[in-house]
Amino acid sequence: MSDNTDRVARVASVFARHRRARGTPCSASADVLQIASVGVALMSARHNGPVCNSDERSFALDELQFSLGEGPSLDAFAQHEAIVAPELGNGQLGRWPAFTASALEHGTHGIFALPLNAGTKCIGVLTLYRDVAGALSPEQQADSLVVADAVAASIMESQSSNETDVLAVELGDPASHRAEVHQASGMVAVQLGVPVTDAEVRLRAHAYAADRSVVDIARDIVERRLRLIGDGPIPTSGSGGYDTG
Amino acid sequence: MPPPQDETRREAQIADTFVKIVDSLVDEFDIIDMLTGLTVGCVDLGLATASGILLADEDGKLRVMAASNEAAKLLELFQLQNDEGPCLEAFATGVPVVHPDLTTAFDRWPIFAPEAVRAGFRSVQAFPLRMRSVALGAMNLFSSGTQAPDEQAGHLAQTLADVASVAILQDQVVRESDVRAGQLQHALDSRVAIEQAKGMLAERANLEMDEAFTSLRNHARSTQTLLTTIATQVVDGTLEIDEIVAANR
Repeated sequence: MSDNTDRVARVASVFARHRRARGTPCSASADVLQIASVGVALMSARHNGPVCNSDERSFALDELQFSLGEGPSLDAFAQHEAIVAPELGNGQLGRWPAFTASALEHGTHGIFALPLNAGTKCIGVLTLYRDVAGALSPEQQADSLVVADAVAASIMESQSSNETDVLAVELGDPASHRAEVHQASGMVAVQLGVPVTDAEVRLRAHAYAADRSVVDIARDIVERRLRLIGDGPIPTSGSGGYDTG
Repeated sequence: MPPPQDETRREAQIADTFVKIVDSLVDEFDIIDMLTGLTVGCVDLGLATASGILLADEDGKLRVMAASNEAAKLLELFQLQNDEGPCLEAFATGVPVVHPDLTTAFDRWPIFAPEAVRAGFRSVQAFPLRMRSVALGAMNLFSSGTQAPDEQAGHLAQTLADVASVAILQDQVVRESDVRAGQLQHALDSRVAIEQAKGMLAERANLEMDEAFTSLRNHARSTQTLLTTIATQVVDGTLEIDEIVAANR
């Protein structure tokens, strides 16, 4: 009990220090856990978007999960529980085949995705990406749970001073970050006469088939250089840019 | 001295009552269920013949939340209606109120005491539900016999009330967090819906994105509707895009 109280106090002081130095919940989490690549994403049943990332790699891998529509962070949100993949390449290709292959290419071998809780709800996910395989140390493991609570608290704190249906500026505007993807989804929905959610899936499928990022494809659509038509490009398994072995 | 097996049984019973209250902290929590369990628990433990609980609502007005039987419920209501009785005093003062013989309490509670006696009760105890300085409500224990002061029983009743208070406050915190989490997610969804609606409008009317945004905003303004509502309606198809396009021409 007192051990955990000490832990909570220690984590809180690191978060406070980062806040004063204009850091983010991600920089604070990376500091506490001594893990370089940390991402925090805000999620709802319909959407998700980044709040902060401690480095380029965590940003790229968070984006990749969104782009592919699969990965540990999305599962952690959907299942509202921690998803631990300490040895990514080891028999776990099956769960997120496309994502795992790309993550390994990025030199990531361990991923720990922790749900961010507010009340009984899950508002997002804290994801730790490690370049070595293996479990977290018991100390890191205990810290990570406290860190997830601190991240959730800081998000709720940021939002608490805001009007109810406007996102706080401190949250990095997770929606506008992918504004083009959402705009493109709207355009494709009209082009194909399908619901927007279906249009977004089509967008992803097209990006996957063309081995390009969803943001790239979306930009082309928004700038009217690309149009998805009814029987447009169909994703083929061989064009993903990696060998599924 | 009660035989040892009786003592063990009673200890198990006490533990069981506590577990029932604490259980509700982790599982699907229902405040009425928990409080009803507490009133019944007090009766089962021999602390009372009947028990009732009053809780203050958001405006600080006391309401009957639970009772072990109908007689206790009526007596709680009776106290509220007449603004008099031990439960109200325990709530107001934050300290337990004990009266061992209600037939001698007609001066203290001229309306409540005769009514309680008429209902078959002879003694009463009231314990505040509180958290530090915050008064949440009070729990009444009614007994059919006169009751000599019993420090141990009083301590047990107050402890049960304290544990219930923690559960009540915890539930409030969780519910407030849930509301705020829902608002946060709604804010995210709204921002996304606006971008999607811009795309739909831009494609249909061959507009640039900022022109599409202006159209949406104009429509929101002229119909005195929130922008996020308009956007959501466009996205889910309940508002025809052509309607906005036509209105902006």
